[in-house]
Amino acid sequence: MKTIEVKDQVRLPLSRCVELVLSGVKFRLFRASITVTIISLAGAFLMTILGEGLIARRVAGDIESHIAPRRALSFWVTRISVPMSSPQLVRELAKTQAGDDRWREFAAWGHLSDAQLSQLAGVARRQVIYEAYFEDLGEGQRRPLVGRIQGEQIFASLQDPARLSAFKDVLRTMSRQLPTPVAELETFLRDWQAAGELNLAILEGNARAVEGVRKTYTKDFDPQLILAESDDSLPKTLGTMGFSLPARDLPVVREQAQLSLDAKRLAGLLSEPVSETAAAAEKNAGSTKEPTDDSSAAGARQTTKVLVKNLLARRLDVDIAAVTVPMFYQEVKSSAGSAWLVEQIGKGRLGGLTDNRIRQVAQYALDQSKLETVEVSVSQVAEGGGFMGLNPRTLALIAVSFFVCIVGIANAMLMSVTERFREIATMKCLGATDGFIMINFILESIMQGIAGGIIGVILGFLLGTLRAWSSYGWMALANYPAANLAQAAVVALVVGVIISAMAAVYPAYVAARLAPMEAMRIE
Amino acid sequence: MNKPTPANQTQAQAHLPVARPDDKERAVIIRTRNLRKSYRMGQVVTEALRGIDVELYRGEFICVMGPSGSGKSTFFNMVGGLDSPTSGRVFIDEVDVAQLSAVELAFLRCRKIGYIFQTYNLVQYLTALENVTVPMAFAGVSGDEARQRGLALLDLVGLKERWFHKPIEMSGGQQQRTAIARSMSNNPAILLCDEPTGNLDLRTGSEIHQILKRLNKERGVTIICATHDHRLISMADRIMWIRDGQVERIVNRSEVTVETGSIEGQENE
Ligand SMILES: Nc1ncnc2c1ncn2[C@@H]1O[C@H](COP(=O)(O)OP(=O)(O)OP(=O)(O)O)[C@@H](O)[C@H]1O
Ligand SMILES: [Mg+2]
Repeated sequence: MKTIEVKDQVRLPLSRCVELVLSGVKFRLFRASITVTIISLAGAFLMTILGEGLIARRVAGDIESHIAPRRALSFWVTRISVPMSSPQLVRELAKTQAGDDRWREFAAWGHLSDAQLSQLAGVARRQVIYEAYFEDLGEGQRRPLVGRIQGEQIFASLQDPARLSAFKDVLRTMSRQLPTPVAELETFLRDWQAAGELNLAILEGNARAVEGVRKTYTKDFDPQLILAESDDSLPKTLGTMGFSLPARDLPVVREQAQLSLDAKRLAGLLSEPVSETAAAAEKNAGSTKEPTDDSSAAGARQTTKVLVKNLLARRLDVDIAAVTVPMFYQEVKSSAGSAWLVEQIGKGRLGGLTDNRIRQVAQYALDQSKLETVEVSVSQVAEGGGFMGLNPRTLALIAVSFFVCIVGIANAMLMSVTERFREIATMKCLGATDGFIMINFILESIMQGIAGGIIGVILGFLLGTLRAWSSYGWMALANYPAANLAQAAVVALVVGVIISAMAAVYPAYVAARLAPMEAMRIE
Repeated sequence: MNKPTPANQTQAQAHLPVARPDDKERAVIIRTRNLRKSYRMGQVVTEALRGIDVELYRGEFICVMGPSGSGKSTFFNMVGGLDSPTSGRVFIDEVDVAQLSAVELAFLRCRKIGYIFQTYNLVQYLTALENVTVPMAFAGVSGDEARQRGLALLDLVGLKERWFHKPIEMSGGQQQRTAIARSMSNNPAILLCDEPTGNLDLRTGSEIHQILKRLNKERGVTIICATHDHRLISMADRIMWIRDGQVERIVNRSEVTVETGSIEGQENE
């Protein structure tokens, strides 16, 4: 029996396949554009989330570096001027590690051993967990359980055995259980009771230390001033009262304190009276265009006193009531503005505030308010860990959207296969192998995936940037993670292509399995 | 050569004459052995072919006739390697089609057989020339050579000037001529035509007939053609009647007078 020699049966080169597919896609442009749209939506979705997250994390990192020194200042200002409250102590105890600065402070104030302190820290950590539980319960569930009381009061009230057993009864009926077994709560309640005395010792020690600072720096006590004017002996002086301010932190805190004080002084300059010379008044009057009482008085060649605020109002051409401190900062932030201020007030009366320093301080003060507005929104986005910084919820959302996308594309491709039954079968009559048909359909889908992916990436990139910009404003653009975004774009594109290739597998298989005799069929 | 085993012979075949071509030296190109095909649709089993034993010769022009549903298209599918029989054998050039792998079948369809469909089946998004060169691409011929050969084939069917037209821009007859050019693109030994002029008017049909005739005479292509058109039948070397999935009879054309009405086998009952 003879056989067929298929050695020279050729495979169509890829370029020819692509060519064929392209002319097919052009012919069915409408259906192709639907698929491309689906893919581009998925790509845009992914890219928006990735882009926004990347920018947010970069911004968060940047803000952290801006905020940490400011936070250090406000910590030390409060630390040395206000005695700690009990909840604050618990929070700090829960966070403290053996041997760190807070640990040493607490040990000094309470005259405690390391063993005692670690016992206290353990209790505090558990207390934080239970408090979070009660906090999370919400009013409706908390009321029957513990009544109206909150925080420490709950643990105090549960010391009463009758209350405790009532509490346990109610707890049994609840869907949301304690984070630990009830027995552990009871242990905790005992420990908490025992810890109370030692905590009190720490608080008293702390109060004495604050009082000590007040006594040491008697002349008009201002913690910011103390920090700003401190020399390297400050850590030692505070150390005698139990405070643990590391020497390496001092320069940062001091610089922040100085900036903060200078900012206050700068703001104070607004209400500083300056003598206005006739020439200056005339110049200023010229800029306001409207003659005012001031300028007519100046016209009489008298030297009058006006506030810097008035001059600023004229300079900015606004009503004096509308002048605000941020406006002032904004103005003197520029070199023209700071030079103007120096000229108005005179170097002598500025006391150390050079125009360089004025600009620096103004910038510092302006950043303060911006940082405050951005910090909150960033902290939410930035905390995501995991794959590319996405939290599990977002990942699940993306996964679902991709699944929907795959189903959508597969459906469109299946319809395309059904529509092309005759064409596919004819191709097989002409010598196409199953593999060729399969590759054809997958290629078609991949090409749509590339097109959709590119469109989606561009869309998502713009959208993500826009969203980041609307949340963080200037900081989003100042911290543009271009390289990471490019990576994300590649990821989104590759994902788009993979999705479309995957979605095409089944329809391509159906097409490849089609019997060539379908070509003979007449509808 | 013509020796169906007695066991396989159906009654109809035993009584009816099976003509052989005048030229007895001709080689067999297609041979079927007790070819059967049944389709199962739910509970119903349709026996489309019920034991067909024929030998078709290289270079002959054979017309297949039979009433609708008699199994002509099914026979073509088996013979063209487009579908596998329920039982029985098909030999093309002495090669048992059932033994072929998928790739070998593709090879066979690509180079041995040309197909012409009632519905033309051109690829809608390709031009006439591109349609003609598709099978060449599957056979590894591309570029200028494919173009030259494609244009020559289009010239053969009188469409050289319209090589850039898409199927939508062509009449039915032009499309079918393009389809013929395509079927010839790898110089197949066999042309299978299932009612090639079924969708065409008389005049256009005649053009197609002339082309088929020429291919048969000038290139020696074996043409197997299902049709009801007596003009086409009058060109054939042999005529084969199929009825109820069996070969009713095969005659040399010289043995019948082709006239409308009288040729229709089923009307002779
Ligand atoms: N794919 C199929 N599934 C089920 N039955 C089929 C299939 N193809 C053909 N048949 C049946 O097989 C029989 C023969 O059909 P076939 O198409 O071969 O007839 P035909 O001679 O070509 O008819 P026509 O002249 O109308 O084209 C018919 O009864 C038909 O219903
Ligand atoms: Mg038919």
